[in-house]
Amino acid sequence: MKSFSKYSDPTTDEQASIWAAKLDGSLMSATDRSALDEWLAEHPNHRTLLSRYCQFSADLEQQMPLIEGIRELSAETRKTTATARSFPWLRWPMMAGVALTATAAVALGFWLMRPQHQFKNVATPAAQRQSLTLVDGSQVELNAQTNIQIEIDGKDRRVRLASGEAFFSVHKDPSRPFTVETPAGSVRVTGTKFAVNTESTGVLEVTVLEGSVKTSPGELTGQSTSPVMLKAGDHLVASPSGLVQQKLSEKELSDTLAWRQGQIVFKGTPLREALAKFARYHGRGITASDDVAGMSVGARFSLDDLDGFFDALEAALPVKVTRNSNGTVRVSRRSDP
Amino acid sequence: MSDETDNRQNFDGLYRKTLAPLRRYLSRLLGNTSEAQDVAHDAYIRVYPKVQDQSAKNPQAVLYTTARRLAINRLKRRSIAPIVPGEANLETAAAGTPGVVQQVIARQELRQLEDAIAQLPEGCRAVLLLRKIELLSHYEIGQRLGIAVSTVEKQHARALRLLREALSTGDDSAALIASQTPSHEAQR
Repeated sequence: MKSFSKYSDPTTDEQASIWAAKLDGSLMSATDRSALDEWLAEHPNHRTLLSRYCQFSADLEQQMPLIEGIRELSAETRKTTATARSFPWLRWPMMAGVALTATAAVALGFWLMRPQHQFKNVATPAAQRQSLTLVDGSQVELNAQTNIQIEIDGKDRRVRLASGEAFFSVHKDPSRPFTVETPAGSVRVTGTKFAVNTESTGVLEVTVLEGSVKTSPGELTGQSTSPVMLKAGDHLVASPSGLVQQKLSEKELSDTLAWRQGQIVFKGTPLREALAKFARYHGRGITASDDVAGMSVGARFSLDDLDGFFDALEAALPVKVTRNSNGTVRVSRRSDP
Repeated sequence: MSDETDNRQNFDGLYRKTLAPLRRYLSRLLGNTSEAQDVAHDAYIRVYPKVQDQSAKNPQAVLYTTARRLAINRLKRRSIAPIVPGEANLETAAAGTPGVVQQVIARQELRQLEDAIAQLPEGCRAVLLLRKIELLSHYEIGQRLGIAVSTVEKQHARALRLLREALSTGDDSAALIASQTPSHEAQR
């Protein structure tokens, strides 16, 4: 938020909010468009500020319906009478105060002793992994550039993996199934160790290290197939073009899960895909020219050592690596003298 | 009590009956299934209370209207996205699930938002609720309240400013809504 106010002298702030409102709910005329372009061109901060207001406005659209009393607020607005009786939230502090003074210690104690609930969002930035322990005792390891939402209550344990890759050691609790939902399908378990990857749009990749899991590809997209049971050592890739299931050897399993140790193993992997892995991990544009994209790469690399990876590529393949000033990297054919 | 059960069943019935066709409809509108899933989800959240208290005469029609308006808002945002390249999160965009991170928010944060909305000036709040909850366009809001579109725009903008200010003065958790998502913050 501090960065937000940095840009905002009152006039700029007001203009940005008005443009955001117009873009959200009005039809923009050609005149509006060119006026907006002009305003944006005046100062680079205008664009940033406007973009934040647009995001804020979109967030409100999504969050406001989740407020339980929101429809009473609407009703209130129509009646335009503002009495304390019809504003339930005005009574909240009072009631909370009474409850607190009477039972503060007890309630707080209970709250601390009931680690049954957890609502939390966690997101990892580029080139950083993170481990966390959930209230139910399950462990989660997140690869870089991964977003998850954790929702644990008395009956259910749910994790939404919006994008990225995560490894789960699920604490056994038959009364509370543990579900990982991704845009490309879901995985349901009671207690086990497995990894879920949903880095590519519409693709769900599940690797089971211990126990068994039930995978429902396409569950959330309405293209649901029948659930697939996976056991230890199983690897499933579900994409719009179909399902590929295979049994992995001990070695292949540890290669697939090497990211947990910050490593990645390629075996006959097309250069294009290898670069995409590093691009994703580091959040940078790394591309290959068409004539080298299909070359195959095989070796174990440290995900954090981008330069080491490029050096190895140049040593092993007839390619040269060009680092552009804007941070992107291009791999192309080396013209040998 | 039995009424409540009835409504609950009504909603379940509506959900089961409409889920597949609604997703197909939204997929056609939006051109991808995962965004269609997000919008369907948001539409059910909005329609649920109306089925609960039976204020919707034709819940299915309300559901489709809500879903269509949400989808149109999304398409609109997509079309203005190119003006903000520095802010666009390519990974989120590529995954086709923008805003998923924002969907789950702790109750106390919602309460802060509720408080902030309750404290908005009357006209400002009316416009905000008609836009974000009823999903009316500025033109429709102007018609409904009998005011000019430019006034609607100003009130909407004012609501955005006041809410942002109210939510940013609290602790970190309150700043979550106001400052986009933690992932954006972290990646900057």
